[in-house]
Amino acid sequence: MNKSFRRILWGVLLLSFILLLVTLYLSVITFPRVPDNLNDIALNNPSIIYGDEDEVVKLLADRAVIPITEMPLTVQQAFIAIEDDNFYNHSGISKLHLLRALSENLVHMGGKGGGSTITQQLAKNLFFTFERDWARKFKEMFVAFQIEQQFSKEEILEAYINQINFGSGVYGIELASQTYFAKHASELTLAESALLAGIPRWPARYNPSTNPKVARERQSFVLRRMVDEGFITEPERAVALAESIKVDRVNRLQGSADYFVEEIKSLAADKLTPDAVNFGGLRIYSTLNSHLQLEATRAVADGLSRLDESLGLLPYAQASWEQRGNYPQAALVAVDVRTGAIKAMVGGRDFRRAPFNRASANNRHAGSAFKPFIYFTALEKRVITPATVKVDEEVAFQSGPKIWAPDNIDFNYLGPVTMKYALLRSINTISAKLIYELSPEAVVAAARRLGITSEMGPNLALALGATGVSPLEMACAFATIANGGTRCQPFMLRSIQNEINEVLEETIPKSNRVTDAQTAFLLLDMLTGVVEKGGTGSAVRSYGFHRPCAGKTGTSNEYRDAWFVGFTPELAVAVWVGFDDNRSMRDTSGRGITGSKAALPIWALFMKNASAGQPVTNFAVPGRIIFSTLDPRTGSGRMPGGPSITVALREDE
Amino acid sequence: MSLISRWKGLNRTARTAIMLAALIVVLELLFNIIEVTIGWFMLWTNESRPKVGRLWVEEERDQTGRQQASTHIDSVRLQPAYERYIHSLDDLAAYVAFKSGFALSREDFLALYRSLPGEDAGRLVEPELLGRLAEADAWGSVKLDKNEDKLQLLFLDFYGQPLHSAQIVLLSAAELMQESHLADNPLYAGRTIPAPLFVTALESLPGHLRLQVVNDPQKWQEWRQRLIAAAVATRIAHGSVTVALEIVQDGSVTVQEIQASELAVEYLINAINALSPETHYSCPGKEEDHE
Repeated sequence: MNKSFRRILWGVLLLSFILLLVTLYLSVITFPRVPDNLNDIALNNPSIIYGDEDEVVKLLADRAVIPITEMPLTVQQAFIAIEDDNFYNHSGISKLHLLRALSENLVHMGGKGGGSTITQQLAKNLFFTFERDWARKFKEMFVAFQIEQQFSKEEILEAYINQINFGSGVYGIELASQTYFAKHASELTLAESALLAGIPRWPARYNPSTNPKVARERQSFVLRRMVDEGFITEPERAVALAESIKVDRVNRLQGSADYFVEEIKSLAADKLTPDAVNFGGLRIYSTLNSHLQLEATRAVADGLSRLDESLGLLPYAQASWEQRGNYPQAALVAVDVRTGAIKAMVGGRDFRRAPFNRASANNRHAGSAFKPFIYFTALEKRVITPATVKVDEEVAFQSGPKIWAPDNIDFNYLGPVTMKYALLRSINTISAKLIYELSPEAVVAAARRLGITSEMGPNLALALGATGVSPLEMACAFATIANGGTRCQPFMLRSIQNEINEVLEETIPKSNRVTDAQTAFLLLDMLTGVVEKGGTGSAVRSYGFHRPCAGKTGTSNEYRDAWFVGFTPELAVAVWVGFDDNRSMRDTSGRGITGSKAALPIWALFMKNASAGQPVTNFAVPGRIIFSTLDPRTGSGRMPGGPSITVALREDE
Repeated sequence: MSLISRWKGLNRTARTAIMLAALIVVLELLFNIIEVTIGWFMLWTNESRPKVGRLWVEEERDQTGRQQASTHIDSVRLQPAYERYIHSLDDLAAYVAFKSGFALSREDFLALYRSLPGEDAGRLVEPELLGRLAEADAWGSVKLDKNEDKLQLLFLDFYGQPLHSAQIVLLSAAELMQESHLADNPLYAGRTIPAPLFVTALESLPGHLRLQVVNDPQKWQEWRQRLIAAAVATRIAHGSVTVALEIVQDGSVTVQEIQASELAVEYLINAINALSPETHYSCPGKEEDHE
């Protein structure tokens, strides 16, 4: 080999090397940049929504980062054992796993994946999409090499455990620990550590809340791997397996306050900006009461599962994603009578499937639940007293060019009845007579004063509640009655503060008297009759709720909407049930489902559980009110042994 | 025995196995070198690479969010609370109740006063009184408190000593009517008129008719702020009609009875009925002649 040939050879080699470097440079120059310190970014504080007792309702970033020193050793070991047993020895990838993945990919002629080290998973989670292709895998490998060069093993493990997906929409061990066990990660036991470490491989499948049995099997496997790796002994594994694990999500409200959270995020974003709300590290103080919210969620789930059964539908959990779109929906909203604070809100049965908030945004016919506004107008104008007698009979009214002739729901007519009796029996003809006498405009004006904000057409059909309203409006309007005629503006946002407690926004609660206390009490007393024997809402008592309360059932035309709106001295609650597409609700034998069948059970169950352990309070009676016992039909003095009804009256009536 | 002779002494399978093992070791070493080299190369190019991927997207959102929150707090710091929350007398009352009382400097109070709708500002402080206070150099601040249905204002000097106090009754039309005892008087039973309705009707009349109902405009300016309810007698006596004005004065309710002209009252009642068709008031009738 002569000298010039050697020179050429060296030249070619050098050129090839330079070309290789340039090609490599041009390739990697598009790869994502790795931050100087993974924790600089990961440790940003998320915005947090708090409840009425300043407890955390939701971390908007779904991530809470803790240093590795606060992670129990068992957590770290469990992850290493199950995800990457060679973690401390490799420089980014595991050659054996890579070879195995390569051979499997060649056999299956496709990207089946698998075999990623903790560093590779970290790189993937931080920078890449979850598409499985070779180019992505190649980039991920290169970034993993860099991460290994740039950070210590502890830093890598810390970042990994802090950002991995644990299902239920939460990321990171701290939030997972709080979500599933209502405790901090530093307090996790070996058994709990193993259970959590098993989740990230397949979060939906190994979720201990939804699949406890499968999650326990996975936990057993994780513990076996920990024994294999020498992290724990066989007796320690046996003890961990025997440990009873209580998955406790009570304190976290994960999932059960989604409608409320979306509502308050939207409200806060209107005042600030969506980015400021989600990522501004803000503290958003709300009016939500965790206990009431959980009871509301449970009551709605329970009521709907009963309804599904009577409609002949499969249990919701067994229905496909498509089928779930055709299931009935429900909404519940609970308002503090004295302040207007929204204490609980359920906007539907499944936020992920149907995020539309039916509690605040729905506009559905109120049916007979609207009747109290008609009686209120008549009481306020002194057109009637609760003891006034009118005749329940067939009626027909001229309404423009048409004749309007409303019937009672059972086509029966009772003859003379007192007004309290007419309301508790929800007699359509009496409401029709009243609205005709009062004028629809007067009823609209009165309903608006009480708290109905939706558009209401001033027509006679209002007598039967043929106007769209939301559960929130109904709860607020009934709260005005419960509050002795003082209307409180509903609110759910108490304040927004930054990390150093500077107030960015706050709600100034507002209230104003819209009617006198006597008129409000007369209506309140009439509504208490609805939930007692003989009233359309008497089933409230059969569901075990025996506290002082009042309310009204409502069923719209063709059983499209079922309502129950009621209150205690503390809380006004509206429940709506119906199909999103306005279908009739009929059971398997074709009978229509009314408010007392579909909405009332939800209301009663919620109120019973929500008020458990609270002192019993009675409605305050304002001055200048007297009570009289009389015959519910004739309004005359009660006959011995005959039916009777107690009515509240103004002193001067 | 030398290493070469030992190697030659091995059979083919053993040689293959050793060569394979050696190859693996070399490959492992080579791979490790490549891993480290690529790692360093990546690190070397790090600053030239783009900030792409979920982490950077989140970082950008975080920064944007923080920036926007920070901008908002800056604007909040610059803007007094009353500008954001107080747009009426009701808002002011709600704010005072929420804060359990608060104080405003003279300048802030004047700015708040100017920002209120005319009628609310008039109810808060009589313009003349405010004018007198504003002219006096001693006035430094105002302390506001809410006590049940009353908003109390305490005007203080620069040393915190009281200069003047005022009280506003914060009652809605329905509440005002509740406080009214005019209906208890048989002369006015069934003929009481809520204050806002009476004020609007009277002030809609031409000036000369207004004077025939209340002939002291200065007094009327004072009364209109304190009016709970009004009533018009059912009978005309000696060519005039008694109009009763129920007024809150120093925490107690008093009734001012004034004699208005028959003609002006007729116009007044027509104005009331036009404003509130729901409630029909009849014009007073003439007293029977007993002569």
